[in-house]
Amino acid sequence: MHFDITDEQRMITDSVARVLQDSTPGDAETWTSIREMGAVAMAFPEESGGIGSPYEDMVFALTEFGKAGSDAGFIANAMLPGAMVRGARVADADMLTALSEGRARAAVAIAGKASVLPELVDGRVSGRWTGVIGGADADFIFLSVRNGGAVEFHVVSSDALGLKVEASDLIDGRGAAIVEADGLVLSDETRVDLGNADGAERLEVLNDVGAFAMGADALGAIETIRDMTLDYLKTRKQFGVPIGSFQVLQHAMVDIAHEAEQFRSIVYRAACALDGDDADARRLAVSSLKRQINTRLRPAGMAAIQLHGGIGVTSDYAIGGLVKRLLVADMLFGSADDHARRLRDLFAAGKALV
Amino acid sequence: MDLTFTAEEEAFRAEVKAFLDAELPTSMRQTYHGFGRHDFDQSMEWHRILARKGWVAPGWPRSHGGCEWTPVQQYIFEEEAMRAGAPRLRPFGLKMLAPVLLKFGSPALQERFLPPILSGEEFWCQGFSEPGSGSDLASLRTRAVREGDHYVVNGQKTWNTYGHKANWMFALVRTDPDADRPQKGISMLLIPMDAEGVTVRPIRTIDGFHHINEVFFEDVRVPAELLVGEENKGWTYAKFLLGNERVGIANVGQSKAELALLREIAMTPRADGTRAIDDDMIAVRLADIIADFAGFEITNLRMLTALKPGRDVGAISSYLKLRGTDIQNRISALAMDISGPLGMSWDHDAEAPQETWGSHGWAITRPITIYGGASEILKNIVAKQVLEL
Repeated sequence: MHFDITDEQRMITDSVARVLQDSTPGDAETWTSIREMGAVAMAFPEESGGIGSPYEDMVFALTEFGKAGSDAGFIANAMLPGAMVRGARVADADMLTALSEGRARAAVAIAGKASVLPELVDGRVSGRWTGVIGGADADFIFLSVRNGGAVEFHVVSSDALGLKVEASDLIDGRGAAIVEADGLVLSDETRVDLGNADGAERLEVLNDVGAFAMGADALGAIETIRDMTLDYLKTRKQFGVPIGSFQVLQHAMVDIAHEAEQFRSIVYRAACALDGDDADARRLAVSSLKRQINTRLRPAGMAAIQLHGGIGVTSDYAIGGLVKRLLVADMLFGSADDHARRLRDLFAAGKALV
Repeated sequence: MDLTFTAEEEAFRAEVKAFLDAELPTSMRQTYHGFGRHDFDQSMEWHRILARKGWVAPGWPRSHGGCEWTPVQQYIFEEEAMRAGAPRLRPFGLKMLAPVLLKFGSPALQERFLPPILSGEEFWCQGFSEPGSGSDLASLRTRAVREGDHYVVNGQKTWNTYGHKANWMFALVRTDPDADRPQKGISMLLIPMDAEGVTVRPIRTIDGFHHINEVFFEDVRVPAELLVGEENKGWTYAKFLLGNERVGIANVGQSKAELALLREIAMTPRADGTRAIDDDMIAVRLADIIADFAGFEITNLRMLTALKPGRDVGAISSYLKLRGTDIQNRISALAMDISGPLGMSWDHDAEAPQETWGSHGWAITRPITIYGGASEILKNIVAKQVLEL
């Protein structure tokens, strides 16, 4: 048990920060930059040509992305596909190498619960996957489908016949897509071979990886929100004094700083749990993180805008965009309600905090 | 970082469990697992059992009879002890005064007072708050005037916990009424509770018990060698002490144990056969206690492992107390809501104590956001010392 930061983690923090300093959030060149610095490879397993970094290390890249207000597709096109192909085989091995090196991009279409996945019938699938982050930038799409009682994954080219990928950016500027299949042909050629791993379990893990990644990104966002708000309280004057001299605002500010500190802990817990092999520990940590985004970070973000007054709701000022990141982190990869139920079920089964 | 326990830490946990299995009296286990709460005598009996084992002072240096356990070991011990149903030790001597004496006290005071704290022969109480000095503690008015080799103490303390059981009080007294800031005229004095002129009067609290008192001093003569450290430096010692107190009030191990009791309450079928835990309205509140605790547990370890032994825990202890007390209050509130009207019985020896566990817990835990620094004062401290507002 220790919380020491490794030299490598410090290096990741510094390199990502440096790359983002020189880039415009969201543009295609940023992907090239993070690819060149090796961030994309971090997220892919060694067997496909990546580095296979632990999630613990990725916390340090993700918080920097969150601070800057853009992850440049890292979560959507590196972390999720990376988690998708861990220990798996696909027919086109060259594609995996290209994804690991960032020469090609893939997105993962997971519609949350297994029960709502489109069904594979007679080798064809029709249906929709919404909120597919990174989908519009993807050369390949990993699709999650139901096949009888099982969950399977297939990978197809994003311009495959019978597949429509429609860009639909999210409120925080994050690229996303609605993916629609109409009689799309899937086969053993397109199927992702998970080896001994179960498809439904992999779907749950992918959701948890996504939730964790968005959470670590949100940690960076709330830390910037905290710093900006604190700075504003110290510099903005009304009634002839800095507004930070008013106790009611000080206490609101303390609450924001406090939440950021507590939230860092649950992000660490989730990262370490994802690196471990105890599925219940992972469920506890990730669902706790998701609840906290909903019950702790969102109100903190709202308060930060309030403390800024009118400037806080202008689009030129960064705080609104950062708060939108918190909202998107709340909405994707399982609703807060779903995660509350999962925590209850774990607790009832005696598998959480016992 | 590594959130798993090392082989040595797991071995330590096994040793703690074996000790608890062998030495924790069945009656104490039954009190806890029967949804009761330990009384003063049980706490002191457990103190003496731990003292015999040499485990009563986890954070003290070995040279003074402590364990010098790492923060992680201390955490493991507390978690296992609370889970098993052990009483909490009263912190006044062990966790509040002792660190002050170890850091600021003379060797003579250390030699005189630490051994009987360890053995449990002498029990301490705290003399800080006064009727006119609560959150504004530095305004305290109890006077200590030096006369030869004695201080003569006059004044009044309040919210004094267990003064009626204590042999000694560590008190903040005003030794310089003319200092330019009120904080600069305060000293810490050790006062024997059986001294002439000390009167203890009980205050009954909303939980129905007598834990706290008013204490009056009328020309109480205290030998000058019972001054801690230097005259007029008492505020520094008090801030150090309060930081330690706040970490203690965060009660991480106890909250985890109480979550297990809350689970039992939520899992027990009610009259209509349903279980509270299956109700989604309850589940959301339960989930949020779990979610906050899952983070808080790590925050606690992050902060404790970052501190060196004997270091001032300072402002960060405020975060631990703010979240820790919030969680404790929500646990008892949810238990009370689940029990509903049945839990409103005032009978402490009810046939089904799990029904009144929440409401009695509410009364017992209600003051935790007030003592040891009210939540609002803690926010003032963070605003000033951490955020520099």
